[in-house]
Amino acid sequence: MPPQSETFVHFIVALPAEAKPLIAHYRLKRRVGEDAFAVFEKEGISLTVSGIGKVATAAAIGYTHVLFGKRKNAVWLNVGVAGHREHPLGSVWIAHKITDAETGRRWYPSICFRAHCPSAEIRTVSQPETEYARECLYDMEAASVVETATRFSSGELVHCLKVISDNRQSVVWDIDPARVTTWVENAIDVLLYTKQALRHLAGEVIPKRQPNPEIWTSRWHFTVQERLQLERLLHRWRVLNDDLPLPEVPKAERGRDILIWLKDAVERLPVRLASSHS
Amino acid sequence: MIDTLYVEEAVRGHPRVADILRRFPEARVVGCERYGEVFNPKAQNFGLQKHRPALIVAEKFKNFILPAPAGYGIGARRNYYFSHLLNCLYDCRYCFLQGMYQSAHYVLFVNYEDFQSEIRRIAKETPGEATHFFSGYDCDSLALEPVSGFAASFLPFFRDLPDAWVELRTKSTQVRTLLDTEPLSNCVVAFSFTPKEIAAALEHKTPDPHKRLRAARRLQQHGWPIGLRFDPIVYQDDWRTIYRSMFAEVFATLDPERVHSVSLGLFRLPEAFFRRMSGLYPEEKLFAGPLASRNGMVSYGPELEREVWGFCEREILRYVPAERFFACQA
Repeated sequence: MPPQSETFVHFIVALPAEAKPLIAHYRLKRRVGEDAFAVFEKEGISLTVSGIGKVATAAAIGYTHVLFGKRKNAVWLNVGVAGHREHPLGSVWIAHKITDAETGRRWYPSICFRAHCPSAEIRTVSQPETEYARECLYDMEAASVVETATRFSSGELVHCLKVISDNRQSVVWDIDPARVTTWVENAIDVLLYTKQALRHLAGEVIPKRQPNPEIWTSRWHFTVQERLQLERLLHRWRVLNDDLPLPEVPKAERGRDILIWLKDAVERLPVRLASSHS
Repeated sequence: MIDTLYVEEAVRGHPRVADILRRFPEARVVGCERYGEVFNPKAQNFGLQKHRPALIVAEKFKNFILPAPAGYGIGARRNYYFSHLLNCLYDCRYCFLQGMYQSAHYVLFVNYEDFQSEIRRIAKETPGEATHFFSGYDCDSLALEPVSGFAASFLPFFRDLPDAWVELRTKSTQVRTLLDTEPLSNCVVAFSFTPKEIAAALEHKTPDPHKRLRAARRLQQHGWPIGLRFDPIVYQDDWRTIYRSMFAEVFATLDPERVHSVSLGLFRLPEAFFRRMSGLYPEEKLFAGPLASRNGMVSYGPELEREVWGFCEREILRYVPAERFFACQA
């Protein structure tokens, strides 16, 4: 499994027919021994087939989060079908507002990149929608995706991409899995672009590799408080000194003496903001 | 510049909103009930949103005008601030807004007339005494002027209210509205300056300090009272050289005799803001520097603070008299 300092993308899809094109494109392998959900993976990508509806989706996201090491600020991308009264079948949309039709709760996903498809409001419903009463997309998972995945990642990294599968001319009961797969296949460029844009954003907020305090804590004893001070001082050293190695550590009996020495070394470093790499 | 507009349904028909919608015909327009639905949720990252901040157009209902914090002022006994706009077009790494708000989206309150009624009421409490109103506390007063029309609306208002002073605090060079307006003696256009080395490292998306200085000079020549805000002073190892050089340049470009006020403040943040900001930008050297925590605030250690403050104060007082110099410790 890639380390926590690398970006990770979780695809959440409700149906096997929606998953097929992504599995084929990324050549994902099914994870053996997972019975609760079908989980596929390959180097920095996972795909979980959640099943239909909010409860299944929430469970799948929680399961995936734990299964892949509780990654902070992973990308969560929900790919699936949705209905709209008149949008053409196969057209692709990204959610800019999501409403849970049952509870009335609303979310506003921040689209911090140049989207390669138009955006729309999604209403997440518990039963398939056939009236299309409002000017929005209807699906059965999006509200659950944002509500659950934003517990684990920042909202800017959690998005829902929807392909139109039904409208007033072609009702929801007529959808067949082969057509769904074709629509998602045809949308693959938008999906790949979106995934890449989000991965790029995620790269800005995943924790950088930190100096390993174990090297220090294995030689000297530090209290919990002292260990926090040690980590902070090592971080300051790395940031101010552009990753240059520390000078030779003096002989010391106690962790406290090491902290005094390290603090002095950090305080002596020149502060040159201009070369900041933030 | 702005590709998403969130509009509170209640102000969709407001004339200022109509102007804004016309200005961004390509933007996605998303309706919302209250701006807090978009602005306040916890799972947001200020830094990521800075890539493409949205504009949220809203109505404010209360707390239009608030007392300025103690230690924030330029000579009046009564000091207030108001925020028609939350957040800033610019992206200064030291700015406390990053620590205060969950979101980097701009919130524009379009009911200016309600702010103005409250300003009028407060100013009339003490006839004949100047009351100062600061407009650039939670935003840059002028940077979004082409969209907000803030100065265009508020300057005529203050012209009719001579006991009320307004400070427009800015790093912007958007001074067209001011140059097209007869100067107001009760409006201070206050420019923030840092040395170019610090600006290059920390003040992202801001106009170059030289351009700011030229904008300030044009306004001063036009007759506007100009304020100078050296706040925050930021430490780096050649701080004496770069700050001395900046003070010399600023006071050589502007006429010190006609500078309304100069204020000075060191880099400082409430502890909670500092924690959030250093978490947002863990690789930022500013936050790894010689800082110390005292009384809930993070700033430079006492010795360094005294040294930097004393130096800057002495330098400034070479150019302006003490009665026009103000320490900003809020």
